[in-house]
Amino acid sequence: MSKKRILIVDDEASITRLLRLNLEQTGRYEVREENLGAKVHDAAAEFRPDLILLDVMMPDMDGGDVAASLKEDPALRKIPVVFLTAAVKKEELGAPDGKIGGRTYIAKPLNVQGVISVIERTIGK
Amino acid sequence: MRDHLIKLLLVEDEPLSSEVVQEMLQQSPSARFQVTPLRRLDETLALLESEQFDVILLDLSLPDRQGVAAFAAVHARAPSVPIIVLTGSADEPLAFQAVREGAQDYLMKGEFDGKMISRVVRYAIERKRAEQALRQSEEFFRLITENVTDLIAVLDQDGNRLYNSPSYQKSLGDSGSIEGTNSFKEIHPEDKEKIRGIFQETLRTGRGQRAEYRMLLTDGSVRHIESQGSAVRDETGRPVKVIVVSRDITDRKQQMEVLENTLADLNRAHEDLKAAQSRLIESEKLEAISTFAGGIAHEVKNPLQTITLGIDFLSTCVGETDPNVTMVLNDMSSAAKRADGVIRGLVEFSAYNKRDVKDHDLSDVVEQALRSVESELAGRSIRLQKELASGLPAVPLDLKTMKHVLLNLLMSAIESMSRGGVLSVKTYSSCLLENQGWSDRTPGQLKAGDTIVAAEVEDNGSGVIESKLADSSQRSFPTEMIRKGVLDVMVLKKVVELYGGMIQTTNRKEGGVRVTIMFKVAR
Repeated sequence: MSKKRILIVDDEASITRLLRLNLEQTGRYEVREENLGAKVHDAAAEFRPDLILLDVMMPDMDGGDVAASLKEDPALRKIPVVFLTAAVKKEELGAPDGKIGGRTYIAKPLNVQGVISVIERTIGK
Repeated sequence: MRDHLIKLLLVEDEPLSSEVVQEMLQQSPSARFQVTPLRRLDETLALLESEQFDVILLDLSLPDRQGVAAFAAVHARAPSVPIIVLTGSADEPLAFQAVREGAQDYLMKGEFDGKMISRVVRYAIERKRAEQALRQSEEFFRLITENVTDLIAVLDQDGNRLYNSPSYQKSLGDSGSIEGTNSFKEIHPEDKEKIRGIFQETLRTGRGQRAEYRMLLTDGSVRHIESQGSAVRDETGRPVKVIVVSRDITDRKQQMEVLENTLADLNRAHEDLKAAQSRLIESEKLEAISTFAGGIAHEVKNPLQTITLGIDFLSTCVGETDPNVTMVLNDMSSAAKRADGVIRGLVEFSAYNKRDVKDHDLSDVVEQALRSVESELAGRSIRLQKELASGLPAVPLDLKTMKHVLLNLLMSAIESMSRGGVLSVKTYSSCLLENQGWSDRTPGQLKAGDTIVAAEVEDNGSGVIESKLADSSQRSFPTEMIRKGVLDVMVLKKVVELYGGMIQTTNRKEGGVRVTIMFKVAR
């Protein structure tokens, strides 16, 4: 079974690094980090991830705009995007799949088990 | 005396008798007389119209009027002039009657000499003068006593009433009917001994005193009286009577009472205003702080995220090799969770910057919060014991914020009972017996005597309130409260204080925690 490819986008480099290390530790994921919203499109085109973990609030670009630009690209529009957000609380996500308005969210603070279970629910083991 | 000329009117119809009298008067060594002799009543009355006399000598058998009627006519015309009646020895009873009706004296014809007549005349003038002076002073006294509103009484040594001013009419009835009655009778039983003591001391020392007491009237009404006594001494200087001047001060007392009550109300209103003002300042301060804290919290979130992910990573790296490393990582993990709890609390409440404070029934707020946790209870076999008082006095709250506070308390209680238990929720109103304060920093926030409404959330779970002061199990810990595994009691405390309330937490002896939220009810 090949490793799932995950692109992690957050302006905080230490967070993307630790998320990467944690996911790689499981031996099931190949992970790439990106810290600038503007570079996500290129990174996705190059890395071809199975799933993108995308921070909603970044200083250079809004996560929603980044996702929209991916949707516009026929080559990338199929890649599922999971948003990382500090703006909503776990309890407010309500539905267990964390979907609000068709988007999947993971509330910060993140814990590794929670992130993995959302990834598994979205793209399988 | 001899120098003083006495104007005398002599009314006598017998010429001889008249002359004898005139002769005697002229011979008098002790006084000088100017005598005007007349014979008839009518000319006497006519002359008195135009002329003043010092004294009148009047025979009672005149040609045109006889007997006492003659005296009465002259006396009526000149009431202020002393009259001495002249009469024959057979008519002495007649003379007596004239004296009773106002004549100064009488002389029996043929039985007096010059010396005697002169003395009788002069005494009559003096007596009349003294009589008039006395009458004037009596009139003066009567005018005073009839017109003062003060109560004036003269009492004998036993307190019996010898005199009462007409002003007593209003309270005790007319002076005549209360004369001779004992003045202690109407004094209120509770004041009687005190006043009797003062009365006796006044008699003993001769020094009057001021006293206040109550009078119990026959109609059952109570009047407040202020009295000043003074002793009246006899010729030997011994106090024998007491004059008491009193005043009814009931109205004044009532006005004072009203004034004092008004003042107390004013003071209370002032304190309420001060409290409201400090709450407003506190509220503005908290809004500014919560905005600031919310901003800071967002900033702290990311570094904290790095720490938790780092701990997660290190945990999987080191595995089970070194128990000490595992322990340290666990400690770090729970410390990070606690920090995260506080930060989440700050972020949450900073989101409630727009507050909508209205009067609410605390039971309603609790009921609404309970509805939100119903499903949690069902899933965890926790029994809910609910005692919500109805008709609680309203307290000013922001419904959303307070529901959130209660929700947090309920959730933390539920969390602590992972293996089931009893969640007890109560509301009630009571009067505080002693001052309550969080700590030295906010002393006496709620005072003894304040009416409060309170909500109590109690569990029998495994949670404990950690505190530096936690040296006994049954005790409220005002500060340093962070409940294990639960986010933000510190934040809840601050939020409740914002509405003038406070949170008290107690570790129950039998296990579990009791959290009480109290709010002061405005008067």
